[in-house]
Amino acid sequence: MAKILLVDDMNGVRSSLSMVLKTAGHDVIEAENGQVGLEKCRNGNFDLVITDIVMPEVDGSEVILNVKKSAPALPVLAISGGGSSISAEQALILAKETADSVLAKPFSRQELLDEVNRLITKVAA
Amino acid sequence: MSPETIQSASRHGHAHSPSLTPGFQGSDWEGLIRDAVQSSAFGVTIADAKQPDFPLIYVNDAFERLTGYASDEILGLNCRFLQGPDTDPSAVAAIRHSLCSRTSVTRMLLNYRKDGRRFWNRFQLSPVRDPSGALQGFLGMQVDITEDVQRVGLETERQKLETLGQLAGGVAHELNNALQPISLYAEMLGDLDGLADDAKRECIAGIRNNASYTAGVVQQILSFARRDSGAEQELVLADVMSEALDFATELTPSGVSVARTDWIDAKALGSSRICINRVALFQVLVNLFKNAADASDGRGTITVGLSIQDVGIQHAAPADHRTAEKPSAAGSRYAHLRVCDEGHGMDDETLKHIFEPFYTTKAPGQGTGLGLSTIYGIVESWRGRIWAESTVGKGTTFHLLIPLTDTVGQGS
Repeated sequence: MAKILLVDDMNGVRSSLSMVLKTAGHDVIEAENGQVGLEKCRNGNFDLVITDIVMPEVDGSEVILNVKKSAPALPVLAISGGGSSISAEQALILAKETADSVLAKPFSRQELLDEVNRLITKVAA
Repeated sequence: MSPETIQSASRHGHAHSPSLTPGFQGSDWEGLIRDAVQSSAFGVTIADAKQPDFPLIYVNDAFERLTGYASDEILGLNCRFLQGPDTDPSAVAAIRHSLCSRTSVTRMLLNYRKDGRRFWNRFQLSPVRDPSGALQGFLGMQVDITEDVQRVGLETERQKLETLGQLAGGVAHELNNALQPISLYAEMLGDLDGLADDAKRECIAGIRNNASYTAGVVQQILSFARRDSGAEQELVLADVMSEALDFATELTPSGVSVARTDWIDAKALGSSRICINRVALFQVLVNLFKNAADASDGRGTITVGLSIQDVGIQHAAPADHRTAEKPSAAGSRYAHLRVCDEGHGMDDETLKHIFEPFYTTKAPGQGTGLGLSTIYGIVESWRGRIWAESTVGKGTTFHLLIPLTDTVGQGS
């Protein structure tokens, strides 16, 4: 199956997504913020990046831009709980333009797995 | 009135000195003044001060247009026909006072047109005296400021909606992030066969944790919405403070220690009492300690101090946005609580916003940004004050003033 980098600053979100993806047979590497996510991405040889958008310091839109710059073929799935501030809204808009797909929290297990499968087969095809 | 009279009056300080242009003489001048007043865009009235009840003896065109009354309908009447059911009695009283004391006054008041429509009137009243200083009448100037009042009202409403929008956005973000694991774990638990026991336990714990986090968010919203710190009662300061401090210390992460310095003892505090809600005080301290611990990355020392402050609250707290505007109606003795951390500190820009709802510098999921605005609301409901001082890299001190309800029995 696929090797997935999962970037989210909320423990609960990371653990639950990780469990769902691992149960479906994927290999999951977690990162608790954008900075760590980018570091792990550099030499991780991933098939997919899943990133939260509203995060402190290096937010999701920055993660996506960096990933797309260094590995344009690597698909990115953005996940978001929405935002309250102007900067969060801007990050959301930017992420929607640059990510391959966006899922709004809370999404179901099936929605997540379908989207993951769609993105990794798209690359494989 | 001739130019000479006006100049002589002006020397006595009873009229303004006109800049006379050569060419305007005698009756020309009088005519110009009359025409100017008559065609002024302000409503102008003159009431006779020598007759009982000060009847109107002059109204200009603008006043007729503004109020809808023709001059022959109202000359001879007191100007109070402009008042109606929603006219603020205190504004009317201020005008009446100035009529009696022969002084000038400017008031904004709600008046009524002849057809019953309401308008906001910026009304200015000044006594008119003759050169000898004898009171002749009262000059009234009126401007319709209804549009300005409405604009201010709309702006206030807009700000309220904006705050509500931020509130809703912040709540949505927090709740979505907590609902995500709840929903995924619940789905995983649905496949009972495919899940190992420790994975099931992880799911259940995850659901529990996130559900209680959600409940916390909801609680904070309610507390913010109500701006209500619950039932208040008179409590002995020394007792309730130590109780609250023990409670908050208990909840502080193990890496952070709490030190009491300048903490005056129970004997010195005597029977001083504060009128507050106990749980709300706990909430305030827990939140301040949590902020202090977060700002210090879970290390270091939180220093707390407690003293009695005798000076007026206006002098005790800096008079800026970080403090409430209205002066306290309570007594002039306060319990002064200080919570000081050795954390990152805040710059001036951040300090300006810390008491606004959903303003947060923490990572999503680490704080709703409701904590300090809730605390602010609570402290204000006690007629107290809260403000912060901070130096980037050095730390932050939160100051709280809570009014004492008694003035006797200290130090005994």
